[in-house]
Amino acid sequence: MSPATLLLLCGGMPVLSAHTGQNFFLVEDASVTAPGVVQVGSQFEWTHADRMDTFGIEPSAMVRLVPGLALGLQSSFAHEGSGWQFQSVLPALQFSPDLSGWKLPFQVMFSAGYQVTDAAAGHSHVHVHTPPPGPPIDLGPDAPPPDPSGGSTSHVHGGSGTSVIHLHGTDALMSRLALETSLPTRTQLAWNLIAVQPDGENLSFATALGLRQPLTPEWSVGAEYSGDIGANGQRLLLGTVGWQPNHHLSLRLGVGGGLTPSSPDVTVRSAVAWVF
Amino acid sequence: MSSFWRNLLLTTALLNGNLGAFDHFEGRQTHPVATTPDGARLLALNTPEGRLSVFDISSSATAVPQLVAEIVTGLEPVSLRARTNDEIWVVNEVSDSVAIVSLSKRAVTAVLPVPDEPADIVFAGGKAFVSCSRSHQVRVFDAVSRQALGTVTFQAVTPKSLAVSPDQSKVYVSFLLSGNRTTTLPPTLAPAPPAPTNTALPAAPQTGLIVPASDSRITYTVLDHDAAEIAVSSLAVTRYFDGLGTNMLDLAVRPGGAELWVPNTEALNLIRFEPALKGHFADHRVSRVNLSGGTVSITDLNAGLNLAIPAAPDKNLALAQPSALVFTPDGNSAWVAATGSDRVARLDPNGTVLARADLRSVGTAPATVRGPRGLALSSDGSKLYVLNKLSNTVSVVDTASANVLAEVPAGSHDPLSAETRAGRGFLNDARLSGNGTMSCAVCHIDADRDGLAWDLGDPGGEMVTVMGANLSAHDTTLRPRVLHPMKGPMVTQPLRGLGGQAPFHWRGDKATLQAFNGTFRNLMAGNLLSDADINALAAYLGTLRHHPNPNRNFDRTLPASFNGGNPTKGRDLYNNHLNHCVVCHALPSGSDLNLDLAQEVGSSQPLKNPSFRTVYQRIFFNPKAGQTSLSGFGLGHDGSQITLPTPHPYVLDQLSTTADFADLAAFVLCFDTGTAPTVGFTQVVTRDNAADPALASLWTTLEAQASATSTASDLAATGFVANRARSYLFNKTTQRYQSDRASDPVLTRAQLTASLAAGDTLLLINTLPGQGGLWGGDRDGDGVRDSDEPVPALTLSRTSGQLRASWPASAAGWVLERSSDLITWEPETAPASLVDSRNEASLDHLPFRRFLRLRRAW
Repeated sequence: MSPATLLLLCGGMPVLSAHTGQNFFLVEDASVTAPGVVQVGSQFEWTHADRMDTFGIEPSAMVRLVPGLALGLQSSFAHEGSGWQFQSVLPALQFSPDLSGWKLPFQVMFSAGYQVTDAAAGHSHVHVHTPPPGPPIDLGPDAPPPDPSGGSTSHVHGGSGTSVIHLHGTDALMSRLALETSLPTRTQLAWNLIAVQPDGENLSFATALGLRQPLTPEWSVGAEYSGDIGANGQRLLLGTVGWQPNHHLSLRLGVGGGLTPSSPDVTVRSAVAWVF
Repeated sequence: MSSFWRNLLLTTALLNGNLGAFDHFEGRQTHPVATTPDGARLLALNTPEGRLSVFDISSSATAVPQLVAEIVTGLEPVSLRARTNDEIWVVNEVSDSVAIVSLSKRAVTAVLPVPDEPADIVFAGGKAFVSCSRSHQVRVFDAVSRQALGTVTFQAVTPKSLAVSPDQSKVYVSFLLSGNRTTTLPPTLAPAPPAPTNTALPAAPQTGLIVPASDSRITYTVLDHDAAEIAVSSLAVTRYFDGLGTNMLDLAVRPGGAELWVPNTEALNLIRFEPALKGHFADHRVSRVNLSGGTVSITDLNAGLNLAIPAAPDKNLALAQPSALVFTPDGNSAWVAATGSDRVARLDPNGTVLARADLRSVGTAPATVRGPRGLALSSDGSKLYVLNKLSNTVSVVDTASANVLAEVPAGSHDPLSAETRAGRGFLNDARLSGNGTMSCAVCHIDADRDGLAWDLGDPGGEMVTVMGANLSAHDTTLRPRVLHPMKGPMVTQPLRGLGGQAPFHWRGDKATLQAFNGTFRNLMAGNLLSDADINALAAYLGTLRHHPNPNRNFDRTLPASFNGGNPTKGRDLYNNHLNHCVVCHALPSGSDLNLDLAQEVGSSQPLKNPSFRTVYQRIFFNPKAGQTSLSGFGLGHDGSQITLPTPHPYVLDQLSTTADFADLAAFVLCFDTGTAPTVGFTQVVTRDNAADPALASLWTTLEAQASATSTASDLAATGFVANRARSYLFNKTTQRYQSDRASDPVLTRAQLTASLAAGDTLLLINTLPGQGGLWGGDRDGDGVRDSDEPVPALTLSRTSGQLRASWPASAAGWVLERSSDLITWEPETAPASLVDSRNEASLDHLPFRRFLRLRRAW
């Protein structure tokens, strides 16, 4: 069994909202894989919300294509009470321009990808409202005013129906801007602006911020935040610890919870990554 | 047309087949029968008709009560008490009122509004105590001035029956849905379900498990207060009584005051799976509390009987659902009404059954289910009057012999159809079960809930496939939802408001109401009903309506604020498709009737999107660690989950602030039940208060709700105008009042009130749409106004030397009266017999020179 296969199996539990680089859970750093290097990994997530538990596993791989440009592939599986189900696959390109000549205090990375979901397991991406045939139904005193179209035609509206940071079962264009810097204390600081546009719907945004402080060459601790902007309601805060015994292997553990009513009560995440 | 919409249309068409039946609320009769203090009158409630029936029982010549008056009191009257020989207080469950009736005036003279779903009333220490079940409190009034004195609140839900200590210093109240200290262990903590016994089945889904609240894995406290004691002087709750039972159906204080007796059922919901519960899922008991020491003794009313299925040789002695209890004056025995088995039984001081009377042995056809719900003893203790809810009759039992002496209708008219009455019987009749003790109504008390969850899964059952669409994703393609028979705990659902709500059950695994027929065999160990019988049961269930939601405004609008939120803002959030609430929880019921994707709601098995119409009734569960719950079961299908408005883990995008969530929760708690809040409202109008601006404002709202542009309700008025009994119906189109005589001119409201004379009282009553005529001048709904109905002719004859009076038997509700001066009239109590379709009474006992007449009792 190859090391990559072994790692994928060891990581065998899910993640719904990874989208991360090597050092963070919720945040992507601005690094693009070095030449000739393949990075594989997997994240596991347990989330407890409203007395219900969900589990997820998200294996991923990234390989450099040309300098500054890498191709990533990420898939996700979830167990939400009715067995493991394939959720989605997300191929993405990551581009980290060489801005060394600009003497910027931070590194920049763009990524863009398209999430393809299992249509039977989640939302379709176009919300079409068609009035039922037959005489109109009395919807009671709380019904909204009649549709200006008379209710006789279908229409399409936006709205993802999900949180950006918990994009669930929706085909969507996903992009991310990452800025990363290192402080004199060797503290790694990364910030992301995440944009998601589900098919036929409005663009929604989220932001993420990660901090990682090496304690020793092997051990590090950190904190991460990710939250929907504006319309959506999930906010997550994680405390993390990382262990990198050698150049190839890194293991991470994160524990945290939600900051809003619609966020998970508790979430525990783990990740393993191997760099060949 | 997509398959989904095709199915929905089919369902709607099937349900429309029940249109035209008399919808009602299945009032929970608590103390529906009593005698006046002088023992001369028997007072019985004709609940479906909203009337108090008054019977003369003063004659020693006959055991048959003579109907002498019928008085409209409000919608679904359920309890009454006589304060004096003339003043009767009647509790109206749907009207949320206490109607104060003068027997001499044959009219309601005042109405006391009370909080939601009042159940019972007692008098103690000059005060009137009214239990208000749905608002979980007791309201107290001065019994003479009728001024409000205070409110008693409890650490318990659904206060129902009331009783008074002999010295009137204490009032006792029992709680119908107090539970039995069981709760649901969530699926995440529950052990894996056992392997199915049907080897063809796949492994069962991980579900919750019903456990005692004392289970070490339960981190919250579940209270089990079954009864409480109230100090009459201070209105303080002085103590609770726990461990009496699961559903407390009545209570009574034993003469002498030493004991409190509580008839109840004890649910066996800790037993898992339908085969293990077959034929025995509850016990029927009387719990006796020693009031000095607080000790509890419990007697199983079926102790000593061999009720083991299938033979169950003592089935014909079984007593099910003890719903009323009355002591003999000496306290040496008590009578208990076994609602489910149509028997009353006499108990000794230890609760042991001494004698039984079979209420089906005399009177109405033997097959008719009686449903005894109220008991009253004659003043000399020789007769027991039994009000039978389901047959709407009064039985008279000889207390010495336990023989049934007579049975008479509780009123001269019953609006429920024969099919509806038959259907009610099938729901309640424990004699249909294998051992005479079980019925649907043991858990669906009065077609409602028991406040519990049950695991009625079947490890030997079959998989069931129900079609559902991914409507949350706006995909109307029907896809199979395969349901495992080991479904785990499911909270008992109300059987009200089912019209248009197929498929049924939490999982939608019953396509029609007829599909429940298997329960009679599989759970109750009886036989399947015939097609005609199960159709009657389904038709009956289709007539049951939800009560109005008391959290809404009187005019059906939403309140400005509720429970810390703004319901109107919450409604707008709910209706915004971007928030997805309304997509699955579609208006008007809160359910799109669909089984959507299970994982959308974090469920381990497919579920039908549930209605929101009774959420406001089920919010007493708090499973957070260290907290105290008044109920062991919450809003979710398995009794778990409580946090509104996200009882399931669905991402409510667009909702991000605490205020948004509070607003949405407020809206859900104010969710319209399909019945307008004005329905049931009653108000007395007199010449003195007719010009009251507050009354005028209420009246305007009532008219608006009953107008042509609204289908919310009808408006009727009944009482005395110009000293004559009259009734009126508000015409939705003309906005005028039509009297009970077609030739009368229609009146405006001003003309109507101007007609009131001194001493007249007119009771405004708002009814379900289409039912106003019952109280508004066409009682029997035949299209002929009441005063235009033919007047029965009274014939006097002397045959073989005997003087006889006779009149058509079809003239129900006409009373034979006698007078010596044409001024004072009294009921002629000579027993009438039926001869050739005529009532015939012998009058030889009358003194010389008496006048006779027939008077309409209403």
